[in-house]
Amino acid sequence: MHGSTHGQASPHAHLHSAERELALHLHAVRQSYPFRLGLSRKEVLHGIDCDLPRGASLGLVGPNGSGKSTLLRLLAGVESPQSGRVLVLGATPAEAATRRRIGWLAEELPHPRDMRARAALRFTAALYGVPRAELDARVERMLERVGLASAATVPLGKFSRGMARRFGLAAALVHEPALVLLDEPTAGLDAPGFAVLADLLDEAKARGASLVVASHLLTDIQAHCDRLLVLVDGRVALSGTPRDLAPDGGAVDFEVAGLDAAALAALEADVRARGGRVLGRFASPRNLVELYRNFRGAPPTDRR
Amino acid sequence: MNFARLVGFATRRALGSGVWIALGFVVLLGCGLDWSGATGLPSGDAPVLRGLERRALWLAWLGCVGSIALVRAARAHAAWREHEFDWIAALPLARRRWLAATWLGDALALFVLAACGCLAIEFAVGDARPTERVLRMVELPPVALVETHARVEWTLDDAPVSGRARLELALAGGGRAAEVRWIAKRGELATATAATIGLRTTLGLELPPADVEARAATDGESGANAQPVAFVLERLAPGAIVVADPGGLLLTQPVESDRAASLWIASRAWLALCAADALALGFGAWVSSASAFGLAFGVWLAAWFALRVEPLVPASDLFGALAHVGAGLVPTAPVLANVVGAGLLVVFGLELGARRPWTRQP
Repeated sequence: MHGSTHGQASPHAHLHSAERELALHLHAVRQSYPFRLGLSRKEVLHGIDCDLPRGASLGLVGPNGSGKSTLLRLLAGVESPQSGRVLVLGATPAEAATRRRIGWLAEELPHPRDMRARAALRFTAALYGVPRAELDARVERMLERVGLASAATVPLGKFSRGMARRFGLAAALVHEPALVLLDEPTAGLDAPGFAVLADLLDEAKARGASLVVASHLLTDIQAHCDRLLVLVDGRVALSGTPRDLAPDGGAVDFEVAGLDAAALAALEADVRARGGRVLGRFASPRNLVELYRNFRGAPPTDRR
Repeated sequence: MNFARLVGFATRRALGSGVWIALGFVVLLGCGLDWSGATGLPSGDAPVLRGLERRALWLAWLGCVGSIALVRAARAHAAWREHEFDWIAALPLARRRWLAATWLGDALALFVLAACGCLAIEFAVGDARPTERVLRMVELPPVALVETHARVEWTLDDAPVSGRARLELALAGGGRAAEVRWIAKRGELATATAATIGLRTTLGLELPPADVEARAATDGESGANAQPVAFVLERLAPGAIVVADPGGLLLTQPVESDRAASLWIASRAWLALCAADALALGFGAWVSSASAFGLAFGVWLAAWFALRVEPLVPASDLFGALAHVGAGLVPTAPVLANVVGAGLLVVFGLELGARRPWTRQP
């Protein structure tokens, strides 16, 4: 039960039906890497346990080096755990058939840099089993969705970080995977990119996909997550819902729209009157999206 | 279907700009140099001149195009690890499948490059001309003419029913020249040639034809039923010590076109590079790119330095074949053992590469 399931003859013949029904099942997962010429090992994950039902979404939060990316790599089947049990969609991710149902956005864009965006997305989609009849339509639609339709013939090596992120999102979702793994999906994204990401995640959830989103910024992901797993130094510091992270007296962010300055001042006064403190007041990134949209829609003479 | 896509992907990558630039260099070399001036040979000696040009251009092809292809294969794993590991490792594919598709794509690209090399080199050489093709090389017993009227005889039991023989002779001290006669006898018939030879000289003569019965009994060119041919090499006057190259007796036959010379060199090069590519892919999974290149190339270095033909190492006779091309001849076609050997090396290389776990192990 506690050993790695990779490499067994029939790795999920003995699974309980409950484990088969889970989007992911982690039990006592440990991972370490050799260092100092292989004489020592640095332990990155210290016995992680986690279950996620199918269709649910999990946010992985933690500071840099807490093991979020390592955990995602284990789930994507790119690495094998040193010990413990990793099951994804009821099977081990080492199996090609399981990986076909996973969409993974890695930290850096790993796709062939010499390929043009459309060709690379088409190639990736085909390898993940998108039917030939749907291939072109789905690729074009996804390029349109992530805002790369006009850059479809640009080689990936020439993409900016934000464009690469958008492409990575498209590649992770083009085959409509049952489990979506996103590693720092907002890194390098501009404000419209945030909106695109939110739409894509909502769409994936709507069709029943499970999500695992890792970020070091809670604000980036909590809107999309039913559950949170907070990792610190490779250990689970907290496992629960986003609400569990804001107990009575804790800090919360409100995002408010539709109020004028006077109404906002009254709101702040009300908060203070109830014994609370207003820690900051910032414009929402949504305003930027609106500004960009209006600017692009303006007549050319107004662009100066 | 996906396998075909992967093969196409690997082929496109292997046909990157580097190999085309290298091929362009070979074409420029072929078209831009005046070979009669470069070799100092009279332009009337067309077969040798064309052979030397062919040999030089194929050496350039091997040095430029072949080495780039091999370096690319040796670097493949490092490049994957550096940039694309997360993409490849997450794909729903077995590692063997990925490696096999990569190798097949490389092999197709090498085929295209070898075919383009053939076309470019033959275009540079010009129109086809009649020449001789090598039927086979014959290993000789030690042949040395030391005494003034020394004479050496040897017999070839399975000589072809017709054709020519060429013997490579060299001087081993005792003077600057020697006068020799070389005779071939078959039954009652004999042919002979006499010459004053220098430091290295090739003698050639027509083989005495086999009789009608032997011709009828032999279906091919070098049937075992043809009458044996006895060769005699004798010194006619005092002079330098004469020795024969141990592998220097060639049996040849006239052919209408010398085009096949490039074809057989390209075949050898392609087989060898396909096998080397698989070895480089295999070694590259375990060691650095430079070491992988060295290990893959080392197989051929060992074969070439051993100075003998290893049938299971394709193109172990590459330089022998190129020497024949340089002499204006069409070399022999690669033998079946070369293909089998190449296949074994490919299987070994790909299996070696697949043995390295695809996922990073803790």
